[in-house]
Amino acid sequence: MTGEVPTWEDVARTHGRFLYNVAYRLTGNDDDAYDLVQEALLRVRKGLETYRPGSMEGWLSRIVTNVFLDEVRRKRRRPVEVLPSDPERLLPSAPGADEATEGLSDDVQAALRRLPEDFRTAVVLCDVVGLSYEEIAAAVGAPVGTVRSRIHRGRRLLREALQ
Amino acid sequence: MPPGDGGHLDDVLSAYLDDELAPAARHEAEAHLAACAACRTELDDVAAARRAIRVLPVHSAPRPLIGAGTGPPESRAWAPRSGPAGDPAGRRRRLAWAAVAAAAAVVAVLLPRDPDVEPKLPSLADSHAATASVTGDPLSQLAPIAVPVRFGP
Repeated sequence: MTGEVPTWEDVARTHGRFLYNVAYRLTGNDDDAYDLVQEALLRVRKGLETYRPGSMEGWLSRIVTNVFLDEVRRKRRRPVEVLPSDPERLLPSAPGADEATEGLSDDVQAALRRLPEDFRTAVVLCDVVGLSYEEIAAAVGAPVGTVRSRIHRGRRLLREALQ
Repeated sequence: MPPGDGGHLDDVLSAYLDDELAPAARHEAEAHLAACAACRTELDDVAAARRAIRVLPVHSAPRPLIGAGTGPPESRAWAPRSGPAGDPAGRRRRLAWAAVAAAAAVVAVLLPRDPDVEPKLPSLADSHAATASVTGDPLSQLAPIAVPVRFGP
């Protein structure tokens, strides 16, 4: 399959838009999404030799999800801030002021961003990327039943936030 | 497919919407839905949330993912910035680097041709043009235009 393996630049050109959108839905803001994509592209560059022709977008989703979850886990292991007393502030991140201009989809994005990371990741992989429960379970390293529960609870929280 | 502890379908509803149920479980869920108003309401709720996410527009990067004429991304730890609007210093830093890169591109294109570097200049310009065609960087798109200009004797 030599000659068939794309370069990381090919991947960035062809799938950059897809990759960025997933990163944006996972992180909830442009700066983090940009950095996340850069790190994902670095892993793409290192991992291209092991890529087997198949669903490139499925493969890229796993990479970008792993980068995202690695950072989430790292943060959990070593919290850098004193826990705030206000539980609202424990939510991942508040919507930024720059989000308030895009209209209805911003309400959805803001609600998505307030979901706990595990729920948000499962919902994004299901409803933005379109992976099956089994594929999501493989990507996040959790049983299929757990994935199903996270997707459902994530959607219920979203619905409550949007009502 | 046993329903949740309270006798309701709970997360089976999302699996139902996502077509993740085996045929037998699907029939059970449909039978339950026909008889349970609470589950029908919850199904409508999660279906609305599911739809809202699925119709979100593709969000485009506000700046190029590949810098004009730069190499592959360098290794650096990804870490979310604190604060809702991100770290302005980080943004400034990136803008500064973009300005440096743009200035370097201009210098590279405008420099007089040196016989030693002659083969490199057009290929550099081509690479800028190739990148610019992807990234839409207007400055680099000028690169091929500037190449034929001769400054030497």
